[in-house]
Amino acid sequence: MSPPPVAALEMPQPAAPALGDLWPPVKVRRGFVGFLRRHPTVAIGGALLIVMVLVAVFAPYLGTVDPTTLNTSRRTRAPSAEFWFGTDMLGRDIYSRVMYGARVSLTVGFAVAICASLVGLAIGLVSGMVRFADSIIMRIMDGLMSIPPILLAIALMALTRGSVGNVVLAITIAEIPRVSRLVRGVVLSLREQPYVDAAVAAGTRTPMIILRHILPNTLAPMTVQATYICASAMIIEAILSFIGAGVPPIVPSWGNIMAEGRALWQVKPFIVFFPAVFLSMTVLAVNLVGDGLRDALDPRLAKAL
Amino acid sequence: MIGYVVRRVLATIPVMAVVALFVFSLLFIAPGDPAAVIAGDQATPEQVERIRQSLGLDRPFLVQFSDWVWRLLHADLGRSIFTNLPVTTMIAQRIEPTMSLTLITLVLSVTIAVPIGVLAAWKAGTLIDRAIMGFAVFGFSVPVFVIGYLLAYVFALELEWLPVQGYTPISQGVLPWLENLILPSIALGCVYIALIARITRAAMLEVLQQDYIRTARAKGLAQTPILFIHALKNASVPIVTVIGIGIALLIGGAVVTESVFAIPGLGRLTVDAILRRDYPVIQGIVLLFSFVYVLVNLGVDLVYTLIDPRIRY
Repeated sequence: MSPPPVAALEMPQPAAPALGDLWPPVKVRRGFVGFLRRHPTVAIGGALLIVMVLVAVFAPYLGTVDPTTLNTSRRTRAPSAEFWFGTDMLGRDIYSRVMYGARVSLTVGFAVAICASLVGLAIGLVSGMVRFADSIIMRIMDGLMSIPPILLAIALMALTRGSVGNVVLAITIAEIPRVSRLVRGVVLSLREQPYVDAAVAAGTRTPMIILRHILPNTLAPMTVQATYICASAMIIEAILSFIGAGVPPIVPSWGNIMAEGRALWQVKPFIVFFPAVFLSMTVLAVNLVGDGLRDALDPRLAKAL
Repeated sequence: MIGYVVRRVLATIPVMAVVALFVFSLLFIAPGDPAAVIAGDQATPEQVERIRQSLGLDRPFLVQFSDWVWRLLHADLGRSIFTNLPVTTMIAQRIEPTMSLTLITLVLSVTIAVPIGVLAAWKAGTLIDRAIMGFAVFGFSVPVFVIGYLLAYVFALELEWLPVQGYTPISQGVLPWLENLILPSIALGCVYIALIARITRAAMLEVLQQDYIRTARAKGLAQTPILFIHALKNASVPIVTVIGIGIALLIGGAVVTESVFAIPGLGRLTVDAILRRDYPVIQGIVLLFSFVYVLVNLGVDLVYTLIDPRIRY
């Protein structure tokens, strides 16, 4: 053992700063309001999203007319007091169509997020817990993942009639591989945890271990992933409708309204403009909620990103 | 090293097999009877049956599948139901615009995204960082066709700086070719830039906390070499990974971008094929894009060993 360096000991030590200066007392507000204050992006995104949900739910009461009513005598009118967002090539009121369009986008977004999460969770759990199934399932997922999701959805839509249900199904299938991979990764790391070993040693049966020890820990990353899937599903739905492979043209979805305005966009840009703004705002709202949740639920990731 | 390369290349075979199986099933379960389509409206059931036999459509799934894979390995993707041209010919006619668009977008995105990601990490927590990350959230949220219309409206219709839409082959001059592709590339690149910038920032933040960065600072190294040589090189594995994975976004986005800007590429071919339910063409395009995507990510995995010699499999 070498003696401590004398010089260092004899150096005049600066007075230690008071603890209060280093760590000013932080008032942490608890509860829901406190959470929103600490994560303003969730508050902003959430508020925006709630507005969109209200628009979707109360579309018939927002001064709208039937979004499918044709009137050839008033085609492609510019926005005015009578037609707030103008009218399209068939004389339909774009304001009404955009308001009703919120229903399609939000339905597809939420439905895909829920379905893909549940199926992905099941596949990921099986893959993570059952060793012999793992390599087979993951090879299939690798294959599906190597088809770009939009193309996969397009290919599936080419097989069926366009309907909201089929669009949800096609996008769900395209999103499942990513969720299963995520869940599998989480499960693989969790099953090495000492508390899982302890549960096994205590004689807990596998289903109970999954339910009690594994499942609750996958919830946080799954929730974050689900919001991103929701955002991505809304974009893919709009793209499918825009290129004519989505919901039938009669359904007022934002992608459909834009597809109808495509031919005229250089002279009547407002037809494309309004659905585009609503679509972007909604996706932005969902992404903000997702970013906020990620920061809140996964402090390690929050520091990194 | 060679062992790793061989193993990695072999590992792509099952992946491509799953893709092929999926794409083949697509045609197999597709509604409509190709034999009936070819025979026409006037055909008797016997004629339809004869055509079905001559096409081999009455054989079991696995026999048809192996036959199809065999032809696939000989670069035969079948014929379009609509034009009766070989699918490979149709793809070859349309591939140049799509390749131009995606390559320009790739180069543009990486040259923009990596520096702004580094900048955001360097200035972490400041206004610059927040602005860049705010842009990234917008890039994720605004769909590619919305950005496309916005750019075309401002820079082509209002300012008249660039052509509104269309495509000029590179054989007719590099400048007109580039002029037509600037707006589509920016529109297509936005999501990709957002993605790469975000990952670059995250990877850089982690590396910048390492001891060797502090050492580099302590020995008086300037900021630029610290950021771009010491830090970026060590942060490059996740960045290269996300560049590879993000190719899927480019491929998917190209389909839409080509529709917005009236570029006669593979994306437009896809859209036309869907509207006509031309399954062999859809199959061919999905296969081609997936193959490219798998190859790119294979390349990425091989690049790892070059940029980070610690990676030895």
